[in-house]
Amino acid sequence: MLYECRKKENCFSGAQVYEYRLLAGGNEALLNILGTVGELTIKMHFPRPFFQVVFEDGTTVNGILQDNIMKAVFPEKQWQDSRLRWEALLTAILSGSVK
Amino acid sequence: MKLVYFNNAATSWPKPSVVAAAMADCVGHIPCQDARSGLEGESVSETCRERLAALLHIREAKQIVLGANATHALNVALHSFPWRNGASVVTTASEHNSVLRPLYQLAKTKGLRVHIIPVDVEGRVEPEVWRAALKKVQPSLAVFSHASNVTGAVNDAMLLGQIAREAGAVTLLDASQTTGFLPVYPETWHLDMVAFTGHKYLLGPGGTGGLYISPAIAPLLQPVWVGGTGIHSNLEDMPALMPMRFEAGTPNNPGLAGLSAALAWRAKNTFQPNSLLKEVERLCAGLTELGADVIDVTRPRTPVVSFTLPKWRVETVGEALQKSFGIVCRTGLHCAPHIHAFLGTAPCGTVRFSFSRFTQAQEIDYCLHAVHALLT
Repeated sequence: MLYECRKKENCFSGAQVYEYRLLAGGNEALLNILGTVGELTIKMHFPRPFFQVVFEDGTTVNGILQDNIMKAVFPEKQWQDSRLRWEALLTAILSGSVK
Repeated sequence: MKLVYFNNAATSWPKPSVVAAAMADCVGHIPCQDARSGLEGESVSETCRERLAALLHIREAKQIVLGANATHALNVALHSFPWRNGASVVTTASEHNSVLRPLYQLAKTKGLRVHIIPVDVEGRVEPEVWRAALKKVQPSLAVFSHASNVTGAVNDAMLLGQIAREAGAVTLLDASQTTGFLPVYPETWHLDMVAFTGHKYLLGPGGTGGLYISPAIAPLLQPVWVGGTGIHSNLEDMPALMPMRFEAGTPNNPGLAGLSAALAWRAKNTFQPNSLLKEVERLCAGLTELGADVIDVTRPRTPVVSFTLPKWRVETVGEALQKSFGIVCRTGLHCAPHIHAFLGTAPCGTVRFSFSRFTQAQEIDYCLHAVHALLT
């Protein structure tokens, strides 16, 4: 297993928010690749630099640089497809299939 | 990273050190509970009740029913109320789900007609709108909050209560956001019921709160939380005596010991809100200058600030503030779903900072620095 995933609840009953905990290491290498498939913003001037990637389907993923936890928010419409796409990408990157 | 805590409207932190000490002391001693043990001595719940009565200027402490929190108190008030068929209730768009959800449930189970009146752009009830609604609806009960947990806007509880009384309604005030920060005087204001919580500005632990019930109204309520009271065990019904009529089961004595200690501490360490409110106003001005959309609230108010940032989702602001800057706050609807339509913050809600008497000026400075970083 490359990561653990759990649903996070918030104010909105229809929200699809998931937390991903990478089981090995931080996310810096991952971000380099994600930046090529989504719009990546990194706030380096924060005390703990913060990143956000926005994908074409509206999925957003954010977290702290060099941390092993990321939060993904899937668009409510067709969120299952968005989640599958994201997890397939994440698995491919973490397993080394995509470099 | 040192955490900066700006979520006191949810639960206050830090607590005075006497709170934890009193709770540990309570757990460490043989319990002494009137009628539930043979041991005589000072009752934790009675001492707490007396201290609350002193704070709230209530003549007879027995009119205060202790419970788990304000949500518990509001449920006791609303579900015990003698609703007749076709009864109506008037409440406001700034209410918390602890008021709204019991009312929705009563609408489904008892056919209660729930009328929700609008609030202004600060989240405040306008007295003339309140008066018009009460005159039109002629409700059995009028329920309203003393202050919005989203904006901090404080209502004139005495005036709104008077208007409700003139319309023939029983009054229930949700004083969760003000008890311990501003005066709350149920009897002076002629309110029938007032719900409050121990873990916000009273600086007590979670799991404590209470409901003031006036002597005139108490006999009319039918308790729904029923069980052992330690006295009159031979009766099938709950005893008529206050407060045990509404206090079935073993109380949260460690929590009440903590709340009691907090009340004693507060009495010796008086607090004037003005300097904190000036800092709140400084923060609002600073946020506005940075480009935040701040919900502008005039006094009277509590130390709560709601805002949004351009190009940032509110939830992401909260995450960035906490994970990158160590600032703990709250984002979203704040369990008050209707108010946002009036504030212009629907559907996503706001970022909320809420302060306490322990908040320091340099923490406000740090907060402004963090928001500046988010916007650059």
